Amino acid sequence: MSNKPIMRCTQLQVQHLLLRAGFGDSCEKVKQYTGSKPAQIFESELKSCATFREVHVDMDFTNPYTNNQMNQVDRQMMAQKGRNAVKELNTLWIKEMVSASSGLREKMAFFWHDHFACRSQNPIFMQGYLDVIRGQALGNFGDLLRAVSKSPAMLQYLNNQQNKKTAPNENFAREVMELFTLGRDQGYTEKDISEAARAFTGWGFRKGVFMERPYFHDDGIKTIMGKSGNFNGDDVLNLLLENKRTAKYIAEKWVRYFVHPSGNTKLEIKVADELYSTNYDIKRGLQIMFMSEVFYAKKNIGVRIKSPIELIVSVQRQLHVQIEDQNSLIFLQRMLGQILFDPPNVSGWPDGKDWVDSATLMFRMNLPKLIFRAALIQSELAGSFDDNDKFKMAGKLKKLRSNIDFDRLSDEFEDLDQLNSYLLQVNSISKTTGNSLIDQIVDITSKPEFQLC
Amino acid sequence: MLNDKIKRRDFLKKSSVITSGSLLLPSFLRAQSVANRTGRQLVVIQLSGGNDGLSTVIPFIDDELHRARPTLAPGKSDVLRISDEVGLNFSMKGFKELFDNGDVCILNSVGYPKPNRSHFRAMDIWQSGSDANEYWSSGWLGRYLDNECENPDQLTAIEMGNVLSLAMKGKKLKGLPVTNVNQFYSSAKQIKVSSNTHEHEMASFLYKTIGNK
Repeated sequence: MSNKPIMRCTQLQVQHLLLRAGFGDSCEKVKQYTGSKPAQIFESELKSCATFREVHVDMDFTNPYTNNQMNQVDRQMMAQKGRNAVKELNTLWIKEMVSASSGLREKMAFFWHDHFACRSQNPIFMQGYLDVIRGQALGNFGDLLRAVSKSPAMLQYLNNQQNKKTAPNENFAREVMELFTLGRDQGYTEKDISEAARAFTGWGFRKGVFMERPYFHDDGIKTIMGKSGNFNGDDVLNLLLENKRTAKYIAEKWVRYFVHPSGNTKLEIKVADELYSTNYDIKRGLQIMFMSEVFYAKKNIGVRIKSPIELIVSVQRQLHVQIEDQNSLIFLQRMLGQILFDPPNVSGWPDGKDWVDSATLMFRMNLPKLIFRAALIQSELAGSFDDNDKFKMAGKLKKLRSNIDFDRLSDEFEDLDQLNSYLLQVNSISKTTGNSLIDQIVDITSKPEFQLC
Repeated sequence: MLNDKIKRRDFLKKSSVITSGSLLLPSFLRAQSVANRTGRQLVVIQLSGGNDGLSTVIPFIDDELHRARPTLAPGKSDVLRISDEVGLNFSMKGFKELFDNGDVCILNSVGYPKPNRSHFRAMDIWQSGSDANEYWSSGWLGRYLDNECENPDQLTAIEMGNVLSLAMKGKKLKGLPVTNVNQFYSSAKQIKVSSNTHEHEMASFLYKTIGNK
């Protein structure tokens, strides 16, 4: 037993946890948690995301990819409808990230979306995939791996539908080792990949549902990482999970993502051990990481550049703003370079310094002005009886429509120091200016330091 | 109710958000060099994604090709011949014309020893120009910027796209990815930046990125 007193979180440390293990939170919540132990805060966050709302897009059409009777025009219309539904799912998920009482589950689901990067134009596939990464976000990594591997979205994305005994397709087998479990060049060979591909032959889907097609499956003996047997796809996934390198790889990725971009070997080992010894219980692994004192060390605070989704969501969560309109949300993701359900490739999005260059940084620094201006205009409009006003504003509103809860904002904030300390994890070198609260908020959130969390 | 109204009014009062503030351009855009640029420009077009090389530049005379692709491999008359052994895909007529004029050079069968076939490793080697057993974080164009373009205020390389390629990253200088030139310009016009330097490493990186010296 150690006699060291258990640390209690300062306001900065609370914000640190809420930004990393979520998307930031209201000033009210920060106040409530300040002075608590890391374990208390994390447990409380876990508790409030134990149950969660569905993110569901209504699709009033039959699966466009199962109906072979359609003509060309109908087919195109269906495809268009499908793309729109994927967009809608995208914005519904963002809205849930903004409004969920705890951001933890959505943050983890977002991490898994990056880890198991996948895209499809088929909304039914994407819906199934999203249900898996949200549902298992804090569950068991093995279950998550199996469910993603069997989701039509991933099977289609990595061409396993074409993986047949007579002509094996190695795409899925390669990425499952390189990107999903062991990590690049970590203890597997080219031979292991082609043997694993044989085990995955026959895995496919029909009418949007996973199915094993025995006719296409190679049921010969395969030798993978030194073990031989008549392996099928599930056996390979089990072999990969039994390999401790998988736990190490996930732990390393977590620590780099949630703690410090350069990693922390000691912490990585602890997290990997916990993951492995609990048979990949995600919650337990996260507990080790988010309850460790080193997570709260000064050197780890404010060293991460918010990814575009983190930025878009945290601005709304922290400042009681809602960007209402679907096109606005898609537009912002596009301008900032990260669109949900549209990763650049199967290795996910580049992270860290890659998020910003002069152009995107400028856009990021203008973003608060765009959002708050739109909110102010909206609010002006609501109170105006002059049609002429409405006409004038309509043009400006085209790009962004947002609403702001002025009352909550003004109740929460007392003075400039408080505003600065709540919104910035790294002190700014420039003075905050502005005559009104909104001006001050815009000034702070437009500072380069606001990009850090 | 009245109270609510007053609160909202209070927010709007004196707010300068709706009007634009003072404007300062990041230094690299202020540089006169952008407007007065003369001389030659290099355009690099990178087609990312899977290309079937053997159906693009086709070694039509090679028996191995016909053995491996009995139905796919085109015959001698189905290619645009550029030598006795190699032809271009029949749909590449424009390309062939350029080739005949001496405007095209083909480096065929480029690869690296003992490939592990990772898509990402191959792209990294291609864009960084490293050896197969080395891992570099700078690209071949970025290193050109480092060595040949000393003035950091000058905008020297632009990439059309959202994310900067590894090829465009130098150790000191980087290219600038732009998707929409107009949007880029209007953002640039509205940015105010402090000219101080920051002690925090990441914050300092951001200040440098926005164009401060």
